[in-house]
Amino acid sequence: MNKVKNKKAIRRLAFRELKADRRMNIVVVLSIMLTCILFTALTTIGGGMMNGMQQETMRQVGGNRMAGIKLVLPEDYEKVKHDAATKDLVYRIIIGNAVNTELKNVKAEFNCAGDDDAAKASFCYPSVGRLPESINETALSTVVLDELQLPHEIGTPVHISLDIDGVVTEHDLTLCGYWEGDKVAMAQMCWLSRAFADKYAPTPSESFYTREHCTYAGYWQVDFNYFNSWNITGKTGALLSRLYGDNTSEYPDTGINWAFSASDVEPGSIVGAIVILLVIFAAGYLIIYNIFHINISSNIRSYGLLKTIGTTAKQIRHMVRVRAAVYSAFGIPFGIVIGVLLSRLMMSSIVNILNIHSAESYSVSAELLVPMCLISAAFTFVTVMISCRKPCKIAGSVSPIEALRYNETDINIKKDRKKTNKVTTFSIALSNMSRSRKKTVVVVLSLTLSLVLVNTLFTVLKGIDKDKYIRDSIVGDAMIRHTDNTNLMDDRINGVTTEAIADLQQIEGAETHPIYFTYGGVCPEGEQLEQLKKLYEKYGSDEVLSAHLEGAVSGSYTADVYGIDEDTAAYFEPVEGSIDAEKLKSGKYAIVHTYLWNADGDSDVEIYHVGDTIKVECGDKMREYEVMAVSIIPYPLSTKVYSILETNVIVSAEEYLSLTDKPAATCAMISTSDESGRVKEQLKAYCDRQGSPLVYTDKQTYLDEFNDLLVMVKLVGGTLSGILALIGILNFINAVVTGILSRRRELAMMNAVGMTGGQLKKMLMWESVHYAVLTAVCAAAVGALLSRTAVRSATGDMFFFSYHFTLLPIMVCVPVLILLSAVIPSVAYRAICNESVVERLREN
Amino acid sequence: MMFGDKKVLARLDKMLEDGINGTFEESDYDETQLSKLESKWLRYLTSSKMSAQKTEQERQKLKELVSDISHQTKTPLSNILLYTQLLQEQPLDEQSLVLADEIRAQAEKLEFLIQSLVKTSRLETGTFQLAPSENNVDDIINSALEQIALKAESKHIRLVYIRENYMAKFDSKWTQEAIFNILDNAVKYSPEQSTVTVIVQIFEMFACISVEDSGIGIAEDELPHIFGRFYRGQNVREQSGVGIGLYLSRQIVEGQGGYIVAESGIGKGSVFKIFLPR
Amino acid sequence: MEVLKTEELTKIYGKEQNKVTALDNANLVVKQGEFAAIVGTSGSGKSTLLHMLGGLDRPTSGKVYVENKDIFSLKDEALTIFRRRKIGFVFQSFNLVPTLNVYENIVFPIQLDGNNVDEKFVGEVIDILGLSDMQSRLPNQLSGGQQQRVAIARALAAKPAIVLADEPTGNLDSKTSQDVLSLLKVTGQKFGQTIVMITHNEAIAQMADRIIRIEDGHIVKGGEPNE
Repeated sequence: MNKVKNKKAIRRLAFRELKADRRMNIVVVLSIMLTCILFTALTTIGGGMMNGMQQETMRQVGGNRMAGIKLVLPEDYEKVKHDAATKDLVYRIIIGNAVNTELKNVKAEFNCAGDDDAAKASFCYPSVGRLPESINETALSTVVLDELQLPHEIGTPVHISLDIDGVVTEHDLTLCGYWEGDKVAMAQMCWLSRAFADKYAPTPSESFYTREHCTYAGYWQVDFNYFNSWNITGKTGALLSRLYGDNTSEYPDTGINWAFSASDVEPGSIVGAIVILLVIFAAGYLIIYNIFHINISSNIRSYGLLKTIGTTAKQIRHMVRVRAAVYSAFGIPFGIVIGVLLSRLMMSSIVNILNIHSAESYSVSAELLVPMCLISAAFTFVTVMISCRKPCKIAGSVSPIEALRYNETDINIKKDRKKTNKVTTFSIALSNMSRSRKKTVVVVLSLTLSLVLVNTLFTVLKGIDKDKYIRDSIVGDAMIRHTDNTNLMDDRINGVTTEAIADLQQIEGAETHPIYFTYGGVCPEGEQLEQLKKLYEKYGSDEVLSAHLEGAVSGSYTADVYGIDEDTAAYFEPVEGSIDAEKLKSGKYAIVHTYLWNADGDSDVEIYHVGDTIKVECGDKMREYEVMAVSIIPYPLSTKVYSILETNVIVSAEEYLSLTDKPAATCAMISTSDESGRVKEQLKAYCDRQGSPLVYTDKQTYLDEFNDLLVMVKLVGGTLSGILALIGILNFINAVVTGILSRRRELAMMNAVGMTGGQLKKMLMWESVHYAVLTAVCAAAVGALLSRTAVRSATGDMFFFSYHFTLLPIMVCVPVLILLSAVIPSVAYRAICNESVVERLREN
Repeated sequence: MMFGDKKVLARLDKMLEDGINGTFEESDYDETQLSKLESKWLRYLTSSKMSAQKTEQERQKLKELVSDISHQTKTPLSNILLYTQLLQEQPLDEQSLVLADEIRAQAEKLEFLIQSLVKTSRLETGTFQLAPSENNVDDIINSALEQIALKAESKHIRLVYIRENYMAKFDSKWTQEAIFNILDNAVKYSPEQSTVTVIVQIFEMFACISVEDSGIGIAEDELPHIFGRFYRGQNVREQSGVGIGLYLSRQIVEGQGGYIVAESGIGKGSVFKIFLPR
Repeated sequence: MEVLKTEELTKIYGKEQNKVTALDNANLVVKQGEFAAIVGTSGSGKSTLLHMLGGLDRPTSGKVYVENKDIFSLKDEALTIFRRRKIGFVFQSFNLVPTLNVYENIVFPIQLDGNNVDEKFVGEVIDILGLSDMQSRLPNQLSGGQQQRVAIARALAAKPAIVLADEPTGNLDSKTSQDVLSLLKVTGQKFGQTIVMITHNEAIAQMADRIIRIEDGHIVKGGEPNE
């Protein structure tokens, strides 16, 4: 079918129309720009954050490859290399761990890097110098160098005691390269040459997985990438079955880099992401839709006119779309540029405020930026096109006569109101709010959302209890314990000797409270015995449990005997009875707690209660105590080692000393009022002195850890609520400004019949103040509800959280919001006042 | 503004409002300016009230005078007419007969004039109250047409009435008179053998009775004046009339919340429209 | 008594070559209680004249006196308040406040002034204009004619010195136009209200007591009241 060639005429008309209404155009372009800025900022900030967190996780993991297979042979490496699904293969050869006493605070793993890429992949490529080549060279991180108290200089001699599969050898090496070490990494990677590896840790010929005894040295760790990061776990499984067939016993261990675990399909997070995307999309849609709608409405008469002279509905729709496209062509590029700049600015300020050091990892790389911008642009354009669909329909379906009468603001109120309402600027403003409920709902909702989010964030932040968080890690101001006290060997579990305690007590300004410990036994009798018998029956089928319970039933079982002083006793939180330090000192009383490991999960089995007598044997001594309280010993003070069945018997330090001939403490709690750091230095120096197995930890270490957690919550929550607040405020400004623009004529008419500029401004202000108040009410209601229910229950599981109800952020934001709502209309009204009343009245 | 000022202003506002509503009273007598002002204000209100009363008295006197005139002139006028008739029945010579006829014509004109004047006066002073009620427009038009039929026939003027049954709010008796006056004018100023048309139109708020003639018409300059008392058009000086009919009609129609407009031009005929509220 | 008077009223739009003289030394007097119609073709300057009379626009030169007050000596804000108290507007496109009901629209200018509503008077106006049954309705529930009746009521309610009507029947069909004009005339005559109406329609102008003709910015006829 031949068509009349009219496209050109229509397009020309569309462009002419555009030129006619410059101010409206600016508003529309601005709104498109805003949406585009929103999308661009969001994608780049989001991308940057994800990137940053991934980088951070990778650094913690110590590798940037997606997956790896562990403890394999060179032939496995070749197999993986030739698989079509993998790329970027790197390997390193395990040699051993350093056991220098200076390195007791860090875990230094010595490996041989397959090549430069292998070093780079684990973020351990020397920034100065190079990887080791000859047998006596090594490359270390600055963290290791600092611990060894060696200068950052190539050629520095390094002495290393290397534990290779249990055999310690001494090596004198020369530093050939170093790099800025990363404290967050789980282990410090250290490099040795291939020659070293071949000599001291030759690659075994037999597979690790089919071998009888476990030695690690000489095996290869192979890491690699897939072509995309989707479903890495599944891909790895597939890879193994490809490489090793059905012979699952030969499957090597695999490692999935959990920096990429976000890409593992999790329904919850996908729903969450979709919801957030929809919210953002809706926000953009609303910004553009409102303005576009007004734009079209204000031109409706001219569309009616065009119809009378023979323009078809289709042509008019086409015109509107051309218009939208032209607006987009102006708005989107600017939006992208501003969006990118804005996100850069925001990210850098976030990074600055939160004191994140690796700022560069929190920005989007150049090759990602382009597609992100393109996506934002496409997203904006789609939004524009969707937003203009309804206005398009209106414009297309307008009848010439209707167009002449068209009233741009639909009013939904149908109800008759009482006649005698007193008309004030306040009441008009109120009824103006109800004229477009949809808009009111959207504005109030988006503002409420951001306020509630800020409130929730604040509640969470406020609820994160520093002391609670630390309490499970440290008690008192500092603690001293044996470097490897989780080792069950006796001298390590209570590795703080009486001599050490005496030394520590010499340090001025520090009060040392030793937590004495020794193993003993409990001899249950009577009631307790009956109870244990019941448990024995209950868990008789469980191999492990029954073995232990059998022992208990037949006479005695493990007792952890602690001796504490009264300052330490203050940290106990009894679940039964109360702690009386004086009574405890008398030596006749004990604090008791019984623990039974079992499959059902209920591990606290209190068989001794207040008033019961407990019979404890310790070495050759046998004592009886009256139970004065039932209380778990605070975790940091305990040995951190549990038996299947044990009862903690806590007695006074004096009593403890009379029980055993070999007194020793599992740890020492230090309290100090010293702020200068002198005590800390002294304590540290004492622990770090040559040959000392003791490790010093203080509150600050955990506080730092705690702050890292806070930073995370702040970063994510702050950015999210910032964006939502931005959307809320944009929607608010949009609602107010479009409300005023679309009612220019109405306002002019009110002015004509005698409403002064002051009164008009007052009315408009009231209108937006109503929005603000409504928002405040909604936010307070929703915020309170959410806080009391969801936040409370969600945070209930976190051990370091103590819930406090608060609406403070909302209370703080409301005056700001009201101020804002009073200022915006006044500014917007001033803008329309540039035209005289007569001009505005004539406008159709 | 000082708090005291506000109070004073509020009191002044109240004083004025009471004054307007006629309920003003002095509140208290003391040494304040406000008290002095109150007294002055009351004096002013009383004096203007007195002058209003005086006007009312004068109006009353006028009303009595009019009533007296109409009453007192009624008998002599009837007598004049009676005697003139008697005179005409006498065998008189040609010349005397003409004179007698003239006396009768003038006497009748005088009677009409006095009657119209009395009516106008009574309407104006409110002696007669117009009592509008829901009535059928058709009825009064028919009555008015009946009244004018004889006169029209004598000039061979065709009366056309496009009938409609519409209700409107008006005082039957007086409105009939108003319509009659308009019809009378139409017949009077229309040439022989012509047509006078009465059309009724209905609007949401008003019923419109238009009377169209094909008479000499009225100049545009004159249109605003034709409803004035004793106004007679430049072109109708030779026709008999006293120039009070249209004035009376307007008084009647406006008195019931309606109005009359005339559209015309020299030689175009005239259209008189009576709008009555529904 | 003269309610409205203009002296050499001139309005010039644009500059230099684009200069358009919309109003050229217009002199005009309107007496208390008059119903005057300003008639002219479109572009004759009648709208400009009306806007000047109502203080919506300022003249290039010349003066407008309302009740002997030179209105353009007032500042904008004062002029607005002046308008509220002294001028009642009836616009072509009704221009009611869409969120206020009929009654509220009518008393809007009065309440803007913080005055108590003269219920008796307003009730009478509402009655005459036949709006008694629709006082609590919103403008979008009314026909065009009804809306314009509300606009007339609003113009009258504050007992202004002058009612200015700008093509009050421009958006109405002829039958409704007749009604609205009738009401304008009847209420004018009932309350002795001075009304100045502009129209391009001769037949509508006939309703007025006096016709003021304007052509190309000049008042060509009817500038002075009838004797």
